Amino acid sequence: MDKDTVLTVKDVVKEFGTNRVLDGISFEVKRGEVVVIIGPSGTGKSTLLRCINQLTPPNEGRVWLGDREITDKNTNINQIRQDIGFVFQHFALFNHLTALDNVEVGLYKVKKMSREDARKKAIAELERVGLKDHMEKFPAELSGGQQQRVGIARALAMDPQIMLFDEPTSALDPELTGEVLNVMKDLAKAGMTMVVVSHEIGFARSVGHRMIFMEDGHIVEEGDPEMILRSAKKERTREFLHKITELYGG
Amino acid sequence: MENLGEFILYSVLAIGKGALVTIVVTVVSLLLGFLLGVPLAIGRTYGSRPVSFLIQLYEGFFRGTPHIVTLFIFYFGLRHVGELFGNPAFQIAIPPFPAAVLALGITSSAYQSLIFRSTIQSISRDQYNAARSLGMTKWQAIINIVFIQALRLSIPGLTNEATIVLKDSPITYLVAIPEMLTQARGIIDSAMGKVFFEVLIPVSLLYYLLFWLSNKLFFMLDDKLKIPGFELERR
Amino acid sequence: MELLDYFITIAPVLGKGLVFTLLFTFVGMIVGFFMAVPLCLINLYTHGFWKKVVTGYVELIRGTPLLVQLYIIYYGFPKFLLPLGITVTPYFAAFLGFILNSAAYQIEYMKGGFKAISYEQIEASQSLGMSRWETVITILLPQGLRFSIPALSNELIYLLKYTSLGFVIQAPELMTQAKELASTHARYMETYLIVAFIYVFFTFLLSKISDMVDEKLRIPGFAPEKIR
Repeated sequence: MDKDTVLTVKDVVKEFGTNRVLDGISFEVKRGEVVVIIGPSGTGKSTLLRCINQLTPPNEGRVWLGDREITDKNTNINQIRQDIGFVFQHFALFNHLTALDNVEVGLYKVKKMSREDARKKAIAELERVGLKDHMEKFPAELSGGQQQRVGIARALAMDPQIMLFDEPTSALDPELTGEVLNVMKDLAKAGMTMVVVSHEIGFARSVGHRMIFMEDGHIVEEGDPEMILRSAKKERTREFLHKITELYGG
Repeated sequence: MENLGEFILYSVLAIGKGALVTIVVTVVSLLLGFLLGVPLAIGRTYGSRPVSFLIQLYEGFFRGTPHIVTLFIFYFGLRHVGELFGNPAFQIAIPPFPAAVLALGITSSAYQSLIFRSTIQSISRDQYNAARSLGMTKWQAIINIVFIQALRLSIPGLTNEATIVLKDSPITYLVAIPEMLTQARGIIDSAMGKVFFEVLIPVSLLYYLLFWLSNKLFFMLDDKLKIPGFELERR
Repeated sequence: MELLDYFITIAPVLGKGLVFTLLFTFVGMIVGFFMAVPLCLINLYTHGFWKKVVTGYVELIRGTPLLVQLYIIYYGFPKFLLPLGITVTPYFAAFLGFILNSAAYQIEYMKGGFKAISYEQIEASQSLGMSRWETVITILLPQGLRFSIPALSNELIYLLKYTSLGFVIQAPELMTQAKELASTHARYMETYLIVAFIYVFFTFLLSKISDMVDEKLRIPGFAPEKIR
């Protein structure tokens, strides 16, 4: 395996009952790459992300993080998850903990840092996403965009090798998507390896290295975002992009 | 107890009769609770300050008192109420069945009032306003628009209340109402204590069956009266 | 005032009964609580045999009258416990009955509390690498239990009132004493009214205390709906 390949997904299949949501997905992500996955709703994009960190174990197929196989039964999944950051569509902040606690809790509980070290790092990460002033607030006291930025800080604090984003802005009011996308863009420019499921074409265009179009559990097309947007090879891709740019703008 | 077959037949009939009595006591008490609870809820939500306050006292007393105490007050207490006034001859002797139903029913009304109040308040004020703008009087709007919807939303709460009254019904054995537990005790006594679980296990299962049936009935009612998009989370 | 004199006369006996009422209530509630928490977690988050066992237990207890349960324990259990050398005293039956009953209802109320935690939070804690146990302790318990406080405090108040059923198995709580006093002094109405007010008072007290507890422990942004 190439030293530079951070994520390898091979022939992943996922079925829910008789519904085959993922029908043999394979792709690779190299270090520093930003891959954006687009496609109609319900085509398994979120499921794919969850198959990567085993929140939803796949029925078939294998996944590697670097040279460690995640799908191997002998792998300590909790250890590997520390190296994969996951950002949820509905933020999934722990409601009973302040923003600061949310970011800290993984550090001292899982990474076994001391409380002071954990606190220092957590504050630094919150500062990175611009929320240091709100660190004592509870999730209910934060706007959607702020909550999502805390979610990103929480995942980043674990110093992951790769960050997975599951429709990070879909649950946000339009005015709030900007602050989250900016954080993500900065992250991308800083060289983080990212897989982002999203409709935000503008994001894909500005910092994305590769775009994957998924439909009916298959990868239909993949390639450079600009290329796909301008002249996609497949008819389906063009249809979909047309719909999306109508709704979300380019 | 000469003949085992006779004994079993007699027992089954007795318990069956007890089950019927249990059902009747439960249903009548619930009904009484409903008939009292509705005006109480409406009075508490829309009534004047003194009315609301009085109802609050009523609710507080009957929700705070165990029904066994309420039962005793209605059955034994009123029987001797004359003594309070120095006139022992004065009695309000309520027979067992009305006393039982009154005790269970009035207690239930205090709880049902709470159920209806919360659903009435969950109906947005706009509904009431819309009704008034059509020209309805205050009470027309309340009864025809707000309350009807609240009633529909109250079904889950009432489902629960029904099972509570059902499970409270055995205390009426203390005033000699021949419901299931009374019958069970009778059978055990007549067999000189040789049977116990043989009687009590079926009786418990019967209570469970009634409990299950009650829930099923209310769920069906809930389904039948479904207003699309207007559901409460069930359980 | 005659009533007042009467009250003072019977107060000591009532006091003894009250002590047992409160004892049954709090022991039933607290022991029931510590039984209910693990059983609830098993019921919600596992999928095997034990989940079904807990469901069966909860259904059975919640579907049958407490009175019948107490009756079975007091009059029925001796049949197989006596040969083992265990005597079923009224206290034994009362405690056992109230504990088992309260635990079952608490399991059901806690389920509601835990279900209010979005599934995504469980996913989030797993994504950070937390083990199942850590997720339970750090994320689920602190929230689930706090969400359950209103329902559990309701249960406490219900339990207080239902201890009056101890009367049926001769457990010496308030109601038992009341019945004796009433017939001894032939003053039924007064006795039962006094007892009613004692229950009402404690119900009121408990509900005020639990409101305070709920406010103190509430997670910001999750206030329960208040009914005016």
